[in-house]
Formats: sequence, C-alpha cells, structure tokens
Amino acid sequence: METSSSSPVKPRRKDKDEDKFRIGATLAFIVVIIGIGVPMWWRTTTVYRVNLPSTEILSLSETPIKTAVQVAIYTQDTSRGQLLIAELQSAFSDNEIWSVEFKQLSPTPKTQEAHTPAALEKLLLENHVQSVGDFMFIEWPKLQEELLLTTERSALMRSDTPSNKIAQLLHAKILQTYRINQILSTDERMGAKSEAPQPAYDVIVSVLNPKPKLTHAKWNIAMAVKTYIEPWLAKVSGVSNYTVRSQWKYRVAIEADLKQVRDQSKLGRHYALQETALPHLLTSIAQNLSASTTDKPAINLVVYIPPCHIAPLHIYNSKDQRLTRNDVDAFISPPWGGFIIANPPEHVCLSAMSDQEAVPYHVSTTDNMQVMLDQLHKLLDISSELQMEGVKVVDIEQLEPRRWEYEAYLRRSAIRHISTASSTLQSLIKLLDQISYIVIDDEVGAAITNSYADILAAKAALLEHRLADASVLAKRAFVASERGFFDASLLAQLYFPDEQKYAIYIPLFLPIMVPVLSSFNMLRGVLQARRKEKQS
Amino acid sequence: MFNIMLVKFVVIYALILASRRVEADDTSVLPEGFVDAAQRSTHTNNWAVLVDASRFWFNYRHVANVLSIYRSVKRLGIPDSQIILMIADDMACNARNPRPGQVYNNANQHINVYGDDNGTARSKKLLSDAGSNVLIYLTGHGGDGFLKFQDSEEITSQELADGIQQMWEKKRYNELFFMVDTCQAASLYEKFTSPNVLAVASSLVGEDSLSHHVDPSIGVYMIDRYTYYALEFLEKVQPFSKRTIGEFLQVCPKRVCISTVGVRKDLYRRDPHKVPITDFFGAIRPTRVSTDRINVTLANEDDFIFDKDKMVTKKPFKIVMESQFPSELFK
Repeated sequence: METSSSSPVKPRRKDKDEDKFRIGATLAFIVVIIGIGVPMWWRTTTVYRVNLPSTEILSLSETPIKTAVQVAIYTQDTSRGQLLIAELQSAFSDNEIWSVEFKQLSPTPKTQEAHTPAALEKLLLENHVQSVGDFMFIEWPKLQEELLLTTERSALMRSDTPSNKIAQLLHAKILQTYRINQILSTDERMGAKSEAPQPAYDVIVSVLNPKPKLTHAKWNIAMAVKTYIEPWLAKVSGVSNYTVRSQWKYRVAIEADLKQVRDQSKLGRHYALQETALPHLLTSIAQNLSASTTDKPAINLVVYIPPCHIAPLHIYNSKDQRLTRNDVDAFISPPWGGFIIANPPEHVCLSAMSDQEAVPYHVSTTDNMQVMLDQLHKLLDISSELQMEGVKVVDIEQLEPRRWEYEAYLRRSAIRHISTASSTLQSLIKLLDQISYIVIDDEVGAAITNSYADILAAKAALLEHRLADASVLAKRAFVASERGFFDASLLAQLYFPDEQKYAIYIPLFLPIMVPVLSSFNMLRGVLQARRKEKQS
Repeated sequence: MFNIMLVKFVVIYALILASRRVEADDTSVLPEGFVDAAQRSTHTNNWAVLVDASRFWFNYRHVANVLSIYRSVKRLGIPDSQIILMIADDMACNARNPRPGQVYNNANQHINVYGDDNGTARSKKLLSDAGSNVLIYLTGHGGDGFLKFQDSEEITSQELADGIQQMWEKKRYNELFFMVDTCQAASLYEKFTSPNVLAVASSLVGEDSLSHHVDPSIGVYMIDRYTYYALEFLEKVQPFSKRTIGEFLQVCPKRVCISTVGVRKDLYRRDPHKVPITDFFGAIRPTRVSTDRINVTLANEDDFIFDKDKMVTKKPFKIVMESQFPSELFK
C-alpha cells in the first residue's frame, strides 16, 4: 500500500526543495494575471459612466409644469369685485397649467378721488406690491373700450366688462395659454416648430448699397445702432445675450424679378417686388452678410438701399395689391431676420435719372430704426400680435417692450427651457440605455446632474411665484442639458463595441492564460500530495 | 431558421394588413378636411446632408452623383448655409481629369455638376430644428447593412438608425427623406424605426446598383444609373412646380435602372403623391410683410450725420524711396 502510493511521487522527492519555488512562481503568475491583469483589462475596457439620476430624470414629466400668477382686481364697488373674482376663480379652478391667485383691492377714499388712471395705478401700487409676472385690472368707468392694456403690468376695464372677457384676455394676451400648450404638446404636428431661445445671439445690422457710385447714401449706422438697438436689447437680455455689429455692404445685388409700374409721382414709375419672391431674395443676399463668422445663431437686420434705376421699390402681393403702409416697405422672416427697403428720396433719383452727378443724401435714422425696433419685437417673439375685439393696447412710447409682454415672454421662455431641458435629458437617458458604449465622463455627468437639479428648482420657483428666479434657473438647466447632450466625449468609444473587447483581447490573453490555468492542475496535485503526507 | 422565416412572414403580413387598414381609414371614415390637413406640409425650413463616402479617381461617378443632387437642391433654393456636402476627393482638380475644374454627369458634357460658385457653409453642423425637413443623400460602395467610408471606416444600418432616432428624440427634424445610391442600398434603411422618415434606395438587398456609362476621354464611369435618372427628373423641376415626391420615387423603373429601386414608406404618414418635391429638394423661408413701427424718437437726424470736420483725416505724408542697390559705389 505504502510503496504503491509513494512510487509516483518518488521522483519529485528528489527536487522537493525546488518544489517550493515552483509553487511560489505559479502563485505569483496567478496573482499577476488573475489578481491584477483581469481586473485591469476589465477596468480599462469598460465604458466609463458616472452615476446618473436616471429614474428621477425619466419621471420628470410626471410632475407637470405649473405656474403661479397673482392677478389683482380693483373695482369701485366691492360687491362687483367679489362677484368678478368668484367667477374668475371658478374659470381657472381646474387649470393644469396655471394656478392663478385673484386678489381684491378695495377702494379707499383716496382712490375714489384719483383723476387719471395713472394716478390711480400709482396709488394702488403703494399698498399692493406686484412681483415679476403679476397683473392688475383697474376699473375706470370712463373708458371707451372694454379693456385697455397699458405698457406696465395692468389693464383698465370698464364697469360693465364681463368676467369671461377678462378670462379671455388673461388666456390670450397675458398668460398666452395657447402658446404654452404648443410648447408642452407632445404631438409633433401641434407642437411649436421654433427653437427654444438660445443663450446668445449675434445681431448683425447691415446696410446694403449695391451702387455706391450712383447712390451717395450717407448714414452713421454705428451711432444709430448704439442709440436705438443696443439700449433696447439691453432691456430684454433676461433670456439671451446679444452682441450687436453693424456693417456697410457694397455691390451686393438682390436677385428678384422686378416689374415696372406706372404711377403719378414725378419719376412716373415705381418697381414692384412680388411677395412670393421674398424668400429667394433673402437666399441671394444671405451669403454676403458674413453671418458665418461666429458659431452663435445670428439675427440679420438688413436695410437695403435700391439703386435709382430700380427705385422706388415696393412690395406687392399675389393679388397685385401694394403692401406699403405708413411709407414702410419691410418684411421679416423669423428666425433669420428682417429686411427694410429704404428707397432714396425722390429728388435724388430725379437728378440721377437726368444724368446729373449723384446727389449725396442722408438715410433717415428715425424711419428705419423705428421699423427695425418693431421687427426685433417680432423676431424675438416678445410682442403679442393677437387682436381681440373690444381690447385696445397702448402704443409703446419708450425704448423697451411693454412690461406685461416682456414678462409673458420671460414666463414662456422659462417653460420652454424647462420642457426642452427635460426632454433632452430624458432622450439622453433613453439613448444611454439603448447604446451601451456611450461614455459619460465626470464633466458631462456633472452637467446632467446640475441640469436636473436646476429643472426641479425652476419648476418649484414657477409654482412659488418667483418668475425671475425661475427664468434664470431654467436657462441654466437648458444650457447644461444641451452641453451634456452634445458633448463630443460621449462618442469617444462609439467605435469600441463589446465584440471588440473580446475579439482583440482574448487572442492576447489566451496564450498566457493557458499555462496559468494548467498550473492550477499542478498546484492541486501538489496540495493533495501534501495533505496526504500530513495524514500519513 | 424556419422559425425566423415564419416570424418574418407573420410580421410582414401583419404590416401589410395594418397598412391596408390605415388606407381604408384615411379615405372613408375621416372627414376630408382632416385628411387634407394631415397631408399639408408642416416644415419651416430645409436642410440637406449630401455624402460621398468613397475616394480615388475610379470613383468619379460617386462625386458626380453627389454633385448632381447638390446642384439640384441649390438650384431649387436651399442655401449653402443649410447644405452639408461631404466629398472625400476633389475630382475636379484631380490630375487625371482632362477637364480640370469640371465634373460632368455624362459623356457629352451635358451638365457640369461642379457648378461655378461653391460657397462654404457656416459650420459643418446640422443645425436643424423641429420644423426642418432634412434630405439625406448617401452614395459610395455598400454591402448588406453597411456603407464603406473611404476604405477605412464603415457606417452600419444600425448606426444610421440610431443617429436618426437620436435626431428624432432631440426634435431635430420634422420629416426626413433618406436617399441612398449604393449596392444593396435597401439594407441601409431596414433598421429605421423613427417616424416621419421616407426612404428610397437604388437597389434591393442582394442587388448591385449599376453605373450608367463610361466616358472614353475620362476613362471612368461617369455617374450611377439611379442618380442619373434622378437628376434628369430634377432638372425639369422648377421652384414652384407641382411635381410630387411620388413621381420622384418612380424615376428609375427596372428597365432603365436594372436594379430594383426600393422604397420604404411605412414610417411616413403623408401620401407621397400629394407631397410636392420641393418639400425636400427646395427651401422655404416663411416671410411676412411687417410695416409697423415703434414710435420712439431719441435724437435729431443731425446727430447721425458724419461730421466731416470731426473726422480724423490722415496727415499728408511724403514718400522717400530708399535706394535698393548701392549703385554709386560702382561709378
């Protein structure tokens, strides 16, 4: 028994001292390959991904975006005020988007004596503090229209204005419910087609003078822009930042078929530009406006001075009606920009037609800048152009938009930013689930987490009636989410799928692994032998 | 294997049934106004991504292909700032081109598709939005499920589908027209799942797409068959023409193309025969006449006049020429 069992081990006994080293070496190999090599291979080939609040982000859309607004109502008769508020409250009671708080302002002896609406408003504001986004209806019996919107956060109403008219005005003009619905709509046919406001824009004011030798137009455009455009943009830069540039461009001709039309002027004719040709006209000049020098989206504002042989130039619609109003020929094409035709004065062209030397003249600043400001209102989507029967809006007389219009724009942009950022983060999370080799490094991870936190904070701010904070937070969330989604590092390992991990590394590892694995066998034999030795 | 075939068959059959039912719904049950509204185009701008994935002189025809489409979309109004044109090699300036600076679509030098003015786009980013109709055109050498990119990389049908899905998730297109002229082209659109995508391919899986003809003076194939006939059709389209995408899908019947043109319209909700071709190949820019003004006057007109006296004029200066060579030394 003893002899037979010890016989195969016998030759090994000779180098029993070496056995120790052999085992030591094998163990070292195993430790290096399995203890260090395999984890290292696994670590270096796994796609790096920071932990993200995925489930929380996916459930973002479960809590709807709801905005709190306070509307104060002042009536001379307290009971009418109570009735109006009760009716309005029931109209807004089960609204999904708005939580409107109606507040009654009761008359005091002082307010009864106020002689002008402005004085009354001032008196009321002494006791009632309005925060950003709030609104106020003030009863003024002598009013002609049912409702008159001022340039501040208020509207005047007649004593017999019904509550449904007020609710209608709130929905259409102040809260702009239909546009919010467009933003929040999930149906792509109904949804808003425009982009969310970007954090920065270039505004490029260009004056086109195709024939500088023949049309001696002079204009200090830089000064005009500094006086009108820059201060106005500074007033509306709550959502986006604007950089303004101005330039003269010579010899940039427009491409359009112009038709001569006879008329009663001294020149005896003018030229007709068809409305249908306007898009093509923009395409023909867009190349030359050097809007391509930055990566920021650009808003182009063009003043075109037609040379005398095609001036004066007017826009006609397809029914051959001239579309000139208040001496203005202009059009806009959102989001590209606006275009103003600045016809040279008649005497300039008269002398040009009779082959005299070109008469120098000055382009009218007021005319063009007033039109340009209106175009900017429309291009930035600040103005509310919806017309309502019985409702009049006070004209703007200062270099800033109407306060209620601007605050509606702030509110709309905030909601837009929140919903865009949420859907961006959600689609990113879905993509991460689908495509396993997208990398999320620390920076992108931080951007996503911050964006998520800002979305929550912005939603809370909207609900807590802090529009100014919500606007800032929503914009930050939007910028961070875009940065996270479009970061180039996401694609760093896009061409490194899982198959590669095995296909390339296995042939490398296998030749090393075979001796290591087979040494397991040897190790086991040695250990068994030892155990037996001990037992015996 | 049999199981998979069976499943495929069932799926296809179900799809056919489903599509038939939708057709029936569209025409009979729904009111006409609704059907019309659903057929109307809803885009606000157009983008085009035109890709030639192969290089080297013998692939002259692929450059001619992509330039044909480029020429058409540009003629129909998409500005260069909204076209992303990728060409791997400059055939017009190739040393072997007997007509430098020109690329033709046929041996009679009928159309110089290289054009005269080629502008540069603002950036190479597809800055489309939720209102964009995007045209994607790919040409090169392909196989079942992939398209070769310059002999070193390839794009797979899965990657394309992922990319388009990503665009859809991020609301980067309104409708997408995917056009591909390679061998086995239909395999590239098979994996698409995103809505509002209309796809057309020059050949079905298992078929080769063929080139049109050789120009003996250039010594290579001029253009591929499918794109040749597509360009022939597009040349007749004017910016306001009434030609439809439905007609465009039939430009290359099997007798001229030799390969079978594949079309995938199950993801597309409008009837191609009611969609004007300019929805994808042309451009729209919504314009609106606006003649209002904001009545603010901040300064007198005089303030905006350049004052000549205040203008800083350059001081008169004298030019002194330094002698270039010390000629007086040699006198």
